This record gives sequence, C-alpha cells and structure tokens, in this order.
Amino acid sequence: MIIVTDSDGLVLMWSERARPSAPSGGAVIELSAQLESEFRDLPVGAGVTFDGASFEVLPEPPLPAPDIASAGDFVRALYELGWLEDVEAAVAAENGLAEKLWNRAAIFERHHPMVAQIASAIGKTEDDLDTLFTLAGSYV
Amino acid sequence: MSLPVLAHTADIRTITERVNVLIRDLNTGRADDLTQALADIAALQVDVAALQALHDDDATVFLTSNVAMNNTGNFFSGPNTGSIGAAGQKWLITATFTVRDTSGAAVFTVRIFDGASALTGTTIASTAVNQAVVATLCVVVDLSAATTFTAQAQDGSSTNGVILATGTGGAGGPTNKATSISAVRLA
Repeated sequence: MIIVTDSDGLVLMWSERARPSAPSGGAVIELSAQLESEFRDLPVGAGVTFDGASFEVLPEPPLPAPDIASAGDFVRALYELGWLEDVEAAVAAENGLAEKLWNRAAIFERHHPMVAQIASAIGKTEDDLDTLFTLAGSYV
Repeated sequence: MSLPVLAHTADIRTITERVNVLIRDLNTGRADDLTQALADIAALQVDVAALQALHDDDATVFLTSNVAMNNTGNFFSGPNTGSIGAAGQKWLITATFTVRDTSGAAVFTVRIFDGASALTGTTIASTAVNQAVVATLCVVVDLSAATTFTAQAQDGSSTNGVILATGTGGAGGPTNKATSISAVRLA
C-alpha cells in the first residue's frame, strides 16, 4: 500500500497499487505490512497524520452554525428554545419594516443586521444565535 | 495452421479457448504445421504478457484527509493518479467526489484535471446545510505523453465546503473511500 503525505505529515491519499504524485515537500511512502494493517483499522476522522512510525486520526471539528434558515425552521427553533414570544414582541416594538419582513421572509440570514438587532433587543449573544441557527439547520 | 493473433483486450475465456483449440489440433493430428502451431502459442504468450501489463496499470487512489474548500474562486485538489501512461496509449479515467458545505445549500463544480485543462466536469448542488452530495465523472483520453490526472472540486457558494474522505450520514461509508480517482489502460 502506498500513502502520500504533505510537508506536515498529513496523509492526503492512499492506493493499493498506484503511485500518486506528492505535493512539494510531501512524500510517497510504501507502508510495511504492519503499518498497512494499522492504516486499514483507523477510525473515521477529518484526516490522518503519519510521523514515519505511527498514524494519528484528526478529530472532526465541530460544524459551524449554518448561515441561513428557512422561515419554518427558524420559527420552530425559536419556539423550541422558548424565545418566540420575546422575538415577536421585539419585532412589534421595532419600526414597521422589521414587522413586515418578519411576516414575509422566506429565509432568515445569520448575519443579517436585523437579526442581530432583534437578538440584541431580547438579550441574546452571538453564541445564542449559533445555537438558534444550528437547531434550525438540524430539521432536515 | 495459422490463427489470428488475439487482441490485447481478449479476456481469459477467449485465451483459454484458443489454447484448447491448439491443443486439440495437436492431439488429433490436425495441425498442418507443428512449427506454425508453436509460433501461435508463442504469440499467445506475448499477448498474455501484454494483458498482464495492462492489468498492472489499473489502479485507484483514494482521498485520506478531508480537503477544505475555503475559497469560492479556487479548485481544490483531491486524489491524483500520479504520472501514468505514454504517447499513443488510451486510458479510461474515472473520479468520484463526495462533497458538502457546512454553512448551507451549495453548488459545487467537480472536474478531472490533467494539469492544463479540465477533461470533463459538471456541477452538483446540495439542498441543505451539511448535506453530502456525490458525483462521478469519467473520460477516455488518448495520451500524447505521461500525464497526472487529478480530481478537483470547487465550492462556489461559500468558504465552508469540504471534499470528504469518508461518507457521512446514515451508517456512514467505508473509511477513506468516499472520494477517489481511477485509471484503467484500454490500449
């Protein structure tokens, strides 16, 4: 078995028989039977590094909060978090445009100024918004 | 008796049948010319060797670590074939891509790149955040020189695209087999 690493030891690709090209500073390495066996048994991760003697699996990073949510998912998430009534009150207290958009929007954008404005009005932080959009994005 | 030379693409069954004809002719005395029969067998051996050479050139390369597509204007490289082939050879190149975007629905462009141009490509779309989508491309190429083929992808929607080494969702997929490129020599 052949593996290809970059200059940091990140394993980019592998093959049973082919000899893929390595990037500048990388290496094409033919594994011993022992290392090949270890490689085949690696758990799933975001990637694999190889230091010449052993492998290390890189953990999957936490997924970032989605940038967007459909109106249905957004309202459902607000309801489940218990924020819906506060949001509706804050929207009603804003200028007329906010209420019109709230009533007509098909989607809500995580970084839209009006979303930040309403979040601030009900005392929610950036982390709270991440929680909200992550929950909304989970309804697939 | 003279038999036509087998094609390089002849399968094992065809070769076996040819050998059986030669043996039968020899055993029954029907071979017109033993020398010619032996020459046919020698030609057959050459063909078998050529077939073996073709077989040894077949290979698949799999992605092992996820590739972040963090620029909407760039193509990012997945696995490559390494330098293969030579002038006058015909190859089948296939590539499978598994991609997703961690921030929303996205449109991806995938292609097989020969170092100078895209030999084939297409666009695929995910409809929800973190939804993995798959595309497979294939192309037959006549080489003018040894060439390295690379599976490349672009996320034109956000900087949160990923080329996946392992399929996600459901029961997942076999480890490090979600994105690959294969090369098969045809002639």
